[in-house]
Amino acid sequence: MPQLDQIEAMPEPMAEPLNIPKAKSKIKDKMLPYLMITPAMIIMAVFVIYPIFYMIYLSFFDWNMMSEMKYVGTRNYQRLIEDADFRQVIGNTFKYVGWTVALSVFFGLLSALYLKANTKINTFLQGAMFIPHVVSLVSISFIWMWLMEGQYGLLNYLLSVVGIDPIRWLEDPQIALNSIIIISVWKSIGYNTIIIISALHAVPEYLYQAASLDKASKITTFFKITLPMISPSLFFLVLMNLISAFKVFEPINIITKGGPMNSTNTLVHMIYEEGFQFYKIGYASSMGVVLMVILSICTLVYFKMLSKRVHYR
Amino acid sequence: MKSLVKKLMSTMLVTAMGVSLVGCGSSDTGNSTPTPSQSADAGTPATSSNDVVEIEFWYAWTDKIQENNINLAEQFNATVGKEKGIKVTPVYQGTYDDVHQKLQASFIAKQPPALSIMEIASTKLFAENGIIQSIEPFIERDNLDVDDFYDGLVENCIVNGEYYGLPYLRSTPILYVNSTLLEEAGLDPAGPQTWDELAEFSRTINSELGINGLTMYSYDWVFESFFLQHGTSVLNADETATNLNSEEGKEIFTFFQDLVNDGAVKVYAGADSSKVMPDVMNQNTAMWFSSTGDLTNNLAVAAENGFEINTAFIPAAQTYGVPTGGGNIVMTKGLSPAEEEAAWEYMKWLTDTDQTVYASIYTGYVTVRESAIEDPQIQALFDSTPQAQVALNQLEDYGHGRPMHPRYAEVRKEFVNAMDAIWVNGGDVNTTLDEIAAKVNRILTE
Repeated sequence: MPQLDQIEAMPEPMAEPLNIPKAKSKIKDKMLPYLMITPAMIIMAVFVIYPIFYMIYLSFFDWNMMSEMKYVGTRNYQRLIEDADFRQVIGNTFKYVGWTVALSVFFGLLSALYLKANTKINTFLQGAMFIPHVVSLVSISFIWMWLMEGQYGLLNYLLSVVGIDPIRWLEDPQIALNSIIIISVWKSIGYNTIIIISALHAVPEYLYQAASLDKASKITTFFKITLPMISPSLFFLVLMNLISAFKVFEPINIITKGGPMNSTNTLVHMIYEEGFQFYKIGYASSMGVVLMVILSICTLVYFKMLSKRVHYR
Repeated sequence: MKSLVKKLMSTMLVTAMGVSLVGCGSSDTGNSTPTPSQSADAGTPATSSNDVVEIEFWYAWTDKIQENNINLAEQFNATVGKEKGIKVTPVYQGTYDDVHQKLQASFIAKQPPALSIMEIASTKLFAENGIIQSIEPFIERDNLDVDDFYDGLVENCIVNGEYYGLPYLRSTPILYVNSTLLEEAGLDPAGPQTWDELAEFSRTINSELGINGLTMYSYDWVFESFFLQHGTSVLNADETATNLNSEEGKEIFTFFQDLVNDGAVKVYAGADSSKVMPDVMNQNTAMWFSSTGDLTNNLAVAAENGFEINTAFIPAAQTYGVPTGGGNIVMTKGLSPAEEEAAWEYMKWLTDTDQTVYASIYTGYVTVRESAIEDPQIQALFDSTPQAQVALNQLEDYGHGRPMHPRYAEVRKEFVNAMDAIWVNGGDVNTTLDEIAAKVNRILTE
């Protein structure tokens, strides 16, 4: 094993800083870190980087996975602009993302404020609220499908007890997307609550003491101290929720398949449909590029925020 | 420090070796799979006893269908296969969609199975893209009696005048009626014969018993039958335009919309197909459409819940008419001659009279050969379960193929959208159909 021998001979700059290495081993020093990350980078290259570039490449072709690949230039992108279904899907996606993120962070904040004291009941409730985050979305979808069933579902039964007309949760194109939003919000509140509670605990107590000396009201204290102090965590949550919301797939695929009448079809589900049910790989790839651009923007914003956060205190 | 670096390096080396080993492993399997082709290269005739040609057969669905596929392969391997040196391995792949997707992937990876099940409407797409091969030469050489297959079943086997598959597990939609409820409402327990009677039955059941006369969901397969019953089809003959917004189309949509508005018929959305059966079990509906393949299951449901069921032709508007469905068995392209022979041998055997009788009794799919009707087991089945004969009679006289346009999957989705819009959500017939027909025509001609 020649490599092993070479390592034996390698100098150790940190242990013996005065030992001036020869030019040859200097290169080795520089190479070592790259060598170290090579396995990880190979995996990344094969499973992440190559597919991304291949997707961009595919988006310029007409291909059904079986036929010859036909170069069509930017026609797939032109079609995206003309495609009324795609416009509707983009609208659905933004509506879904906006409401899901806003509501789940808002309710997460509310329940965190309510549950922040470390009593036994609260610890139990925190645990209970966290459960939906752990349960797979597939199971959750099936449970909610039953809850929201029009004739035999629990929700409509409860409504009928109170004397309200049954709601067509998943059948009415005006309502179905809202029902999906409710399910997603329900799933993510618990996780958000836990993150916000830990952020609340990190706010130094002396700030609250100072505020109470100044006779600040509870509302003023919340807006002037609590909210600014936990805002980095909130930004983190919003962006994490945004990124995962843009990628929503399971509840759509299981509960509505994008229907009724395309009203719950979102970007990822449409990509799946176009690519693997209609075999329009090129067209689906061009949608994938659009999704990637959206997610890249979110991620960039996130990193910007992250660097700000470092200078926060 | 030195030892740490050493440790790290050796770990990396081990990892690297591991990776390269994995690499070897995969190339190993790459070599081992086409064993049959190696034996073919050696020029050994398939009859040689020590050289067994091994082929895979990919199938869809679990339960009875899976058992049927496994049992038949075992029977073949023990008899004809043993004699001719062929071993067939059935491999489960999920739903029809899953099978199709995996076939494409295996084609790209250049490791397709020799045989596969294929949903009938997809035959043309796969044939035209060179994934499955014409079996016309084999049929001619062996003088296979293809005329014995029901006409309605072979339409979807033929692309550009050549056979690309043989009918295997096939079905048609049929009307199921809860005859107990029909009698209760004072109606003929045999079920309605015409669309007028269908409307009349639905309204009577609804007014007499307060339940749905007919429950269905936005189902493109049954939808195709409505057009066939009007002497037309969902697409025109050369599949360049849809008849969705034709006079007949509008008649179909208006007919059911009126019944839905009156509460006589309940239509669930396309995504809610699973909601029909609860209505059947709870006796909340007296009639429903389903595959002939569901007969065994439906009989069990009826027995459990204490009612009788009958089967009937889907009622006639101007004529009777139903599309056929299910899966054909197809042979992939790029096989060695020995593999081709083995695959053909199995296809031929699997779709022969004795095997279609076995499969039909085991699964509830129809027998694909007309000669099967004389089989004593089938006769016995008809005696004990006359409902099974209705399906076969409907197929024999009124069975049709399905559209095979390569982009029919997209078109079907639009049909479901039209049904959801009009029957489930009360949309306007004329504007909705014109709009969706324009979209479908664009898809068909693009």
